[in-house]
Parts: sequence; structure tokens; C-alpha cells
Amino acid sequence: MAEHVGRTDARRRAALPSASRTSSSGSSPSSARRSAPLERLNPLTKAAGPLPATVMLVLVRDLATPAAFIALALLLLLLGARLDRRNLLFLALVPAIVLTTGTSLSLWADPARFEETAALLRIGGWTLHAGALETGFATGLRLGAITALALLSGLTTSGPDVARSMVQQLRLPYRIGYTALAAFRFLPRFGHELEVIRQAHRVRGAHAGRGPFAAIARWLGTIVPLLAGAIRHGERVAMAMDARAFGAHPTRTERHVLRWRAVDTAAVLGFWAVSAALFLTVPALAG
Amino acid sequence: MKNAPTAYLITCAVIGVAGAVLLAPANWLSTAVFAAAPFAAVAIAGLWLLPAVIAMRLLQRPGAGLLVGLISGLVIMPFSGYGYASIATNLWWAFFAELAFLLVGYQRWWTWLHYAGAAILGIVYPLLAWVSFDLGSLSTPALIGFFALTLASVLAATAVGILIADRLAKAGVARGVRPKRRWGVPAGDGPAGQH
Repeated sequence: MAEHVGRTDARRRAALPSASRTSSSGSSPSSARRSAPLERLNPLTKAAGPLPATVMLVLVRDLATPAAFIALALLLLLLGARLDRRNLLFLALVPAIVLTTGTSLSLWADPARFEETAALLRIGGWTLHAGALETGFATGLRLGAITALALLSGLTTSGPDVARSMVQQLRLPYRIGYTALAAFRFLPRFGHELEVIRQAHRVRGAHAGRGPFAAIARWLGTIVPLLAGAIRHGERVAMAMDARAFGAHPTRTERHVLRWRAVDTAAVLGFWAVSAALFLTVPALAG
Repeated sequence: MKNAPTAYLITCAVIGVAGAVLLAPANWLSTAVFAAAPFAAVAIAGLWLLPAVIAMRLLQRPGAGLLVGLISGLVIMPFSGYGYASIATNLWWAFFAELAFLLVGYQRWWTWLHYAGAAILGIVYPLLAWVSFDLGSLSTPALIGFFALTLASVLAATAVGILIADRLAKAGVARGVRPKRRWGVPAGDGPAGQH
């Protein structure tokens, strides 16, 4: 019996060469096209690599170090991520965060603290000091750098793959991991349910009327029925899973295998080394 | 957690997905508002607490809040672009919905424990944000605003979460998952004809 199953499996794999390739390359199993270099890394690699730098960046106060990390992260993303419109939009977000946050924080800063630094701008009784601008942009650059490092995993990893790698590499109990995988399937269901509730409300004339307040009342009126309906749907899904003996065994076979390969270890160690080098050399070079 | 019924896990997943639907736009709103007026962004910070409060109030089981935080973090990933950082953020906020109950060993489910957890968050969050946002450089009114808004936001979100959970309990959902003896709210009969 087992032999027979094995042979069928082998035959199926021979018929579908692309399926076996994606599962062994460790990339997103759902994508048939050739994936970008960063997408082929294990999801945990892209979390573990930038993690020490992210923590350290919270504590730095200069301008050059976060700027260097923004450059590093953007360079890696330009080389290693798929450059479609959505991803390019996210990349443009980083300089936008730096500029707007830096400007507004220097405006909100306490002017009394920076009185001895040079005055850059004078409007009436209010003065923008160089010190306030520097502090504001240090924070803006820092937040931009933390965002850029988060984008390394955010733009190259799918949610289901993170859930799978948590089960396969981090040994999260698979019942929780598969609960997360089921959760992704609830999203379209929510849209359908919402439409049904709206129609029911409209038929009964609930929260009728025009204007923003009626719209808010309509929106609030959908929350409880939407959640109640979704939880009831979830209970039926759970019953169906139980009927198929979900969780009957301590382990289970995975349909999509994500591997931790030598290149993942190398990527994490490499990123740590570059981070350490930047933290050690950049402030000295800039200072 | 290993012996938790599937219905409990899936109910948490549903609440987590609902939270992600709520947080996906809130995530961008808070980024935009933070850029303009940093202390005003925390006015919607309570939204991150809301899904976990609903789960803790409705299900009254250890770990429900954290599981909801994990799920909403995973589901929100493609919308936020922040990758694993979204999971960490959501887990971190959900932890405070659990904290007060963790401290009493999950033996009591008094309503005020929800507010106590939120109050701890309202004090701890600005103190931790102090370093990353360099709050020391802000002027005093902005600083007071930051603390007051954070506290008001998390307390309001807790109240809304409790309200939604009680309405759900009254509607009779998740009855098989909730413990037989519930604290705070009547069990609820559910819609007519359901039993």
C-alpha cells in the first residue's frame, strides 16, 4: 500500500516538474514564476537577520548610522525583491517617512532646549534652531531605517509562508500554525458576509438616512452581526476539521516544505556582520 | 494550548482576521498622523488592543488574546508591508490584554482586570516609546498630550471591546467554547429557535 502511494506520488511529481522545483527551492509554493532572490530565502532568515540591527537602531542618536541602514536595506530590496508597482510604492514610503517625521518632530521639539544652537528660521516670535532640526531628523531617519529593515521581510514574504516556517522551523504546535493558515481563508468570507448583512439592513431600513453620521451608524451596526456570523462559520469549519481528525497525531506531513538551507545561515551571519561593521565604523567616519 | 478544542482555535482565528481588517487601514492612518503630529497618532493606539480584549472577554481562556494577536499579525502582513514586525507589534499589544489575567493566574475574570491591563499599557507604552521616539525632546504640552491620549485611547478601546464581546455572548456565539460559568455577563440564550 505504502509502495503504491509512493509510486503514485513519484509519477505525479514527474508530471509536474514545476511543483517539485518550488517545494525544494523553499520559495512561496503558490508562485509558479521565477521568484526574486530575497523571496527564495526562508521567512525566518529575513526576520533573524535584521533583528539585532533593529533593536540597536532604537538606541542610536546620530544621523549617519540610520542613514547607512536605510541605504543598505534599500540596496538589498532593489537587488533582491520583485520590483512591481506595489513594492516600489513601499520603497518610496521610506524617504517620505524620514522627511515628514523629521520635519514635524523638529517643529514639535521644545525650543528652550536648543536655544544655544544656531537659529535657522524665524517666524514672528518662533525660531527653528539647528539643534531641533537635527534631533527631529535623527528620529525621522531612525524610524525610516526601522521601517526599511522591516520591509526586507515584508515585501518578500507571504503570510502563509511565515506561518509554515513557524511550524516547520520554530516548532510551533502545528494545530496553531494550521489555524493561522485557515485564517487567511476567512478574509474573502468576511467580504461576502458583510454584503449579506448590508443587504439585510437595507431591506429592513435599519440606520437609513444620509450624511456621515448615518454612515457611521450603519458601519457600527455591522460589527456585531459580522463577528457573530463569522464565528458561527468558524465553528462549522472547526467541526469539519475535527471530523477529518485534525490534530489526531503529534506530527503531520507538510504539503509545502520550507527548508532552512546553508544560504539562509550565510545570509543571517552576513547581515549580522555587516550590521556590526556599520555600527562600529559609520559614527566614527561621520564624526 | 495543545489540547485546546479546534473550535476555540478557529474562533480566535476569526477574531484575529476581524482585527486585521480593522488594523490594515489603522496602520496607515497612524503612520500618516504620526508624521504630522507624533503625539496624536497614539489616539488610535487602542485599536491594536481591541481584538485581544474581545477574545479575552468572550472566551475567557488563557492565551486567547495572544493567539488573536499572532493571527492578526500574520493576516495584516501583506497590507502593512512590515513583515515580521507586524507580528511582533500585534503580539506585544495583545500581551497587555492578557497581562492582568496572567498575574491572577487566570483564576479570576473580573471586568476591572481588563481595564487594569489597559492602564498598565497606557503607562508602559509611552515610557518605552520615550527612547525610540526621543520624547525627551518634545515640549511639555506635547508630552502631556502623548501620555493622556495613550491612556484614554487604550481605556476606550477596552470598553468598546468588552461591549462587543458581551453583545456577542448575548447573541449566543461561541457557546461551546466558552467556559460553563462565565464571569461578568449572562450566558445569553441566543436568537430564538436556536436551542
